[in-house]
Amino acid sequence: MMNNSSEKVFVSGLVTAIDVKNLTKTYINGTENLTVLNAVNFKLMKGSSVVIMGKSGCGKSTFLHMVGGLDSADSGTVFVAGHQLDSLNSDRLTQFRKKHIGFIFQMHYLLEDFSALENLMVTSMIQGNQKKKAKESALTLMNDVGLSSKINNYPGQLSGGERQRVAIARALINDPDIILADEPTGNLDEENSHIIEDLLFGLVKKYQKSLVLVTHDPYIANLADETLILQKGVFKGDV
Amino acid sequence: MKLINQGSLFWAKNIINLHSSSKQKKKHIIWSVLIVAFSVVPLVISIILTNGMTEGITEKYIDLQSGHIQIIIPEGFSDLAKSDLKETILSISEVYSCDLVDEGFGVLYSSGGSYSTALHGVAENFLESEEVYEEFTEIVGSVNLKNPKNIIISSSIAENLELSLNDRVAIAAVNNSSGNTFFKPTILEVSGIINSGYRNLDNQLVFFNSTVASNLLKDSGRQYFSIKLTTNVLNEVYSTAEKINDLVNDSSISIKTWDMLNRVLFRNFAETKNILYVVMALIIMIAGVNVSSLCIMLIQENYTNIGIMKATGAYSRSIKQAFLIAVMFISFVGSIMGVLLGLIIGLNLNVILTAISHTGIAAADFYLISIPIDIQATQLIMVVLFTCVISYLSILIPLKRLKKISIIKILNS
Repeated sequence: MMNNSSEKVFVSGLVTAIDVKNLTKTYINGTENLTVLNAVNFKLMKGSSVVIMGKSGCGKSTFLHMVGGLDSADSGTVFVAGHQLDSLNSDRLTQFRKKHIGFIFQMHYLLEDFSALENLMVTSMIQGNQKKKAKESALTLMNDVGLSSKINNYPGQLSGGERQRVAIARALINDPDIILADEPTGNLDEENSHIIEDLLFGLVKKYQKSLVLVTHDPYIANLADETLILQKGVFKGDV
Repeated sequence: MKLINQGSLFWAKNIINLHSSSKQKKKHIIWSVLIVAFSVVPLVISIILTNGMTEGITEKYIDLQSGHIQIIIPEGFSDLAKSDLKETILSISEVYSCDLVDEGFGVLYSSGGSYSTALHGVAENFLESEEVYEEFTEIVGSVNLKNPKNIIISSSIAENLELSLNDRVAIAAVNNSSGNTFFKPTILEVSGIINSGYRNLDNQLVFFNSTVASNLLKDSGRQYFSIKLTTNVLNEVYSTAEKINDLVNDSSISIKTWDMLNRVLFRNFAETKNILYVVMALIIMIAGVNVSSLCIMLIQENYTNIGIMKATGAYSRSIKQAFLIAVMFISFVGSIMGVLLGLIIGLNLNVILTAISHTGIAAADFYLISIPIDIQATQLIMVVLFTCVISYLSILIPLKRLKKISIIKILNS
C-alpha cells in the first residue's frame, strides 16, 4: 500500500477520499523560513483510517487544516472527495466542508450557552436542516456517544471526556464523508483518552467514515488502518 | 429559498438569552434595550403632542373663528339674498351650521389701556351653540349676546385691559362713510369673559351682537357665513366647498376653506412638526451607534464560536443572520418599550403640561391648556420600523467583520 517514503496510499474501497500531491507549506518566522510540509504526497481511500504522529510543531495540524480546506498551501494540490480545494472560493469551500468534513479539535469548542443536544442541533440547523431532523440526528448521536442521559447538560456541567464525546457527535451530525481529528484526546487523562479513542474508531467504522487523526498517543496506532510519522516536512513510514 | 435559516434563529435566541449570558453581556443587552427605548420616547411624545396640538388648535380656530368654510358676502347683498343663500347652504347634508359673522379690526379702550384686535359680530346665541361652547375651558359670566350692549372678551384681553365682569369698554373701528376716515367709538359692557385654552387665539376673541357690528364694522369689516361641517377631513371639506360653489353658482361670492384662511398658521405648525421629527430622528440615529457597539460586543464574545461554526461548514451569511436577528430583536424590543413608555407619558400629557405651566415657564403659554390625545397606530408602527431600519443600517459594518474572522487564527490561539 505504501508507494514510497513520502506518498502513502491506504485502500479500503475503490474511491479515493483524499489525494494530496506535492503539498508544501512554509511559515516565515522573522527572517527564518520554516518548511513544515515539503512536497508531501498522501492518499486515503474511502472508509479508511490513518493516524499521523510527530513532534509538536512538525506540521500535523497544518496538514489537517489544509485537507479540511481551512488553510491554503504554498504549492501542491489537495483533492478531497473529488474537489480540488485550491480552486474553490470561500463559499464553495464552506459548502465543501459542510458536505464532506467533520472536525474534532483538541479543545472541544462547544458553545457554552447551548446544552449538549443544542450544540449538535445548531450545527445541523445552521447548515439548513430542519429542527425536527436536526433533533432526531442529535438524539441518535448522543445515544451513540453514550450521553443520552445528559442531553440537556451544558458544557460546563460535563466532564472533559464527556465534552469531547459531544464534540465527536457534533463532527458526525451532518453526516460528512471524512472526519479530521486534531489531537482529540490531548487534554484528557489516559483512561479517558482510550475511551474516547475506542468510541471514535467505533463510530467511524459504524458510519463508514474516512478518518485522519493527528495524535501523540501511540495507543491509537493500533486502532487505525495505518500510522504515519511526519518528520522534517515529509511522512516517514509506519510506526 | 428560505429567508430565515432556522439554525440562525436558534443561535440568535441563545446569543441574547439573558439567563445564560455573562454579567457584562447581560448588562450590555439591557442597556441597549433601554437606550433604544429612551430614544424612541421623545419621538412618540412629539408625535402625540404635535398631533394633539394641531387637532386641538384646528378645532378651536374652526369653531371659534373661521369655520370649516367661509362664504364672503359681497357688498350690496340684500338680507333676502343672504337668507336664501343660508337656506341653500343648510340644505347640504354635510353642513352642520351656518352663521352670519361680521368681522373687522378695531381698538378696545379701557381705564387699563388700549388693545388692537379682531372684532366679531355674531348672532346672540352663537357662543352658546354646542360646538362653540365646548371649546371654552373657562367662562365667567354669560356667553349670551341677547343684549346688544354686551361684549364678550377673552381672559387675556381682559387681563391686558384690566377689565372685569360688568366693566365698560369703548370699542372703535374705522369709519369712512362720509369720505373722511375717523374712529367711531361704541361703549359696551363686559358680560362674559371666556378662555379658549390657547393664548394665541384668545388674543383675537372679541364678540358682540351682530346688530352693533353691522353699524360699527359697516365700512371697515367684512361679512361672511361661517359654515361648520360634520367632518374635519380636509378632502371632504374641499368636496363640500365645491358642492356649495355649484349650488350657489355666483362668481361674486368667494368661498374659502379653513386651511386657506389659516395657511400661515398651519404652515408654521407643519414646519415645527417636521423640525421636531428630524431632531427626534437624530436622537434615534445616535441610539443606532449604541446598537452598533452592542453588535461588535456580541461578535467579539462569540469569536471562537463563529470560527468553529465556520469550520463545521456554516455559511458566513447564516452566521451573519444569527447576529442580525439577535440585534434586531433587541432593537425591536427597545422600540416597543419606547413606544409604550411614550404612550404612557403621552396619555398623561395634559397633567404634565399643567404642572409645567404652574412653574411659570413662558413657553407653556403657546400650548393648549388641554390637548386632545390623538394616537395614530400607523405613526407608531412607523416609529418602530424607523428604529429597526436605523438599527439594521448601524450593524451592517460590524456584520461585515464576520467574513474576516480567520478560523486558523482561532484554532492556533
